Amino acid sequence: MILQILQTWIDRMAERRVRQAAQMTSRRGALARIGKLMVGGAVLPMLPFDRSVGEAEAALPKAQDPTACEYWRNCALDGFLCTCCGGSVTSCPPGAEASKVTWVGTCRNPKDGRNYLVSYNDCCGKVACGRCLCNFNERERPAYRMGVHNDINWCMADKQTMYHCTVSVIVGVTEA
Amino acid sequence: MMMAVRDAIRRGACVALFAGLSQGAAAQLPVETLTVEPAIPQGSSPLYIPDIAINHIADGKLHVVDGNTGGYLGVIGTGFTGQSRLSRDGSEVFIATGYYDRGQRGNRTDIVEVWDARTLRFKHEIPLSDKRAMALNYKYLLSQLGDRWLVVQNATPATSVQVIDLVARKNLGEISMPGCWAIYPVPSQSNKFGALCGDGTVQLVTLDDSGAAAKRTVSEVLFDPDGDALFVQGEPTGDVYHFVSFTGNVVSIDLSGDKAVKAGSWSLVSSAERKKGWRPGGYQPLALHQGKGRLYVTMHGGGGEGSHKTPAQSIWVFDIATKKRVGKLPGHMATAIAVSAGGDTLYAIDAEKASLVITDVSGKKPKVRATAQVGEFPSQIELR
Repeated sequence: MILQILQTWIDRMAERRVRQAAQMTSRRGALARIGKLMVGGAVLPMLPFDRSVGEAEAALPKAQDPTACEYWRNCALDGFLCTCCGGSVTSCPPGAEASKVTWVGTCRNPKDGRNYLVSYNDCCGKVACGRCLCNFNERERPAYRMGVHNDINWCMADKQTMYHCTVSVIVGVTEA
Repeated sequence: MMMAVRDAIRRGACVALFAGLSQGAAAQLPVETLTVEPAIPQGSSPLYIPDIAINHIADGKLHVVDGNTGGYLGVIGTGFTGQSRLSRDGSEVFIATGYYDRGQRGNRTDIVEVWDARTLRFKHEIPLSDKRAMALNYKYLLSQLGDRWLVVQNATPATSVQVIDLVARKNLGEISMPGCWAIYPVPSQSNKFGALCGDGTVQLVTLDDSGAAAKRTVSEVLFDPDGDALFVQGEPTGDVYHFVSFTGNVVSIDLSGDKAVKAGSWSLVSSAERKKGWRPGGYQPLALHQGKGRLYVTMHGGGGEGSHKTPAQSIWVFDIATKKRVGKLPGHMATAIAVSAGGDTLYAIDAEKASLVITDVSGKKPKVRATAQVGEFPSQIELR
């Protein structure tokens, strides 16, 4: 429920920005984008990461959609999805460089019920992608627990540190 | 360009002719002189609101907004993930930031800039190392100790701080702070700061005259970073900082002594509220007014693991003497709040609308005095 509120907030912010952009770009193009975002912001019957809903989670299409904030791997991702920026869940968009250091999340895949360790690498060296801004924070902690902190630029150890977008790469399984 | 100017002049002439015909005796507007506002107006109450501008993150901003009216007073650019801090006397703004010489790429330069807080003019800069933490705006990632020291948070991601001598305008070097984060000044001692650490302890560091760590102490375990982490924002009463935890406890930590010690803890929520998941959330979830004895906290219901950045459904008001809730205000989707120096006005950042909500809290019923749209991703409010 609460993650839904948080994500709805992000969706609305994104929608508002599109509306602002609409004043400067073509109205038709902007309306198309708003439509897409509103579809993206439709109220979910339940959350992909709510343990209490059990197997019903797997039925949620968004939990399996890598371009949705609610995609199951994104449970601690704060940033732009590289899947919306010319990359994929495991690849940076063309011309960007993968961050040398990362934060991690532990997310449950509703399809198999397993908890996976997910590395959130930032993609670096290009301007902010600006698409599919997401903000999920399961087991995220302030930066005194740096390895699970997401309010910092994880391009920080790269030569070119400009933040572009974020991927979600499975690096292990935490339990069967 | 010249064509455009000629067209404009022609159009202007037509408008003037039309106006002359239709309005007859209307007085001609005088010729004007362009000036520059010398400073933000006297009598305004500036709020300094950082904005990481994540959609174009190389180009952050510090918005200056009037806390009386919500009117926009001016702006200072804060570069790429810049942190800002008002000087202790409120006369200057420090900005720890960095720039690439090709905007998005090239050679990077990190600096602390010093700006005049009222004329909003650049004064001078001091070099930083490129270890500067490129973080979302949070209080205490850039802190002034006494009049002389400015301490800058680093992350590579190994954590340390850089110590700046504001008088000599020099970067004096680095102090390692492994596993610890943020810089809490100790008001009674102008060369000492605290930091929260990932093992639940609090470190205290005292600087020597050269800006190096002359002394470092580590407290007992004072909080539980796994089960009940503390938000990084703390609000001080003297040398005692009051933090709130993810599940809704206040933890007060006294930084005045040799080692940091716990100075009390209490719950913001009843057991029934706790069961319903009422918790603090946001980026600056606390506002404290010592004189009025009031603590404001941004709260949401139905919370749980991962909900700690959720905008407020309600802002709860506590009496800090009795530790009892004395009121509830509308949440305004707030992720950052602050209270005016006089304690009569509460400022809230509505994260959904990217706006500032100014609420008069002096009477029995809160009254929204003004709202103002501010930037794109405001996440902090600072005022004097």
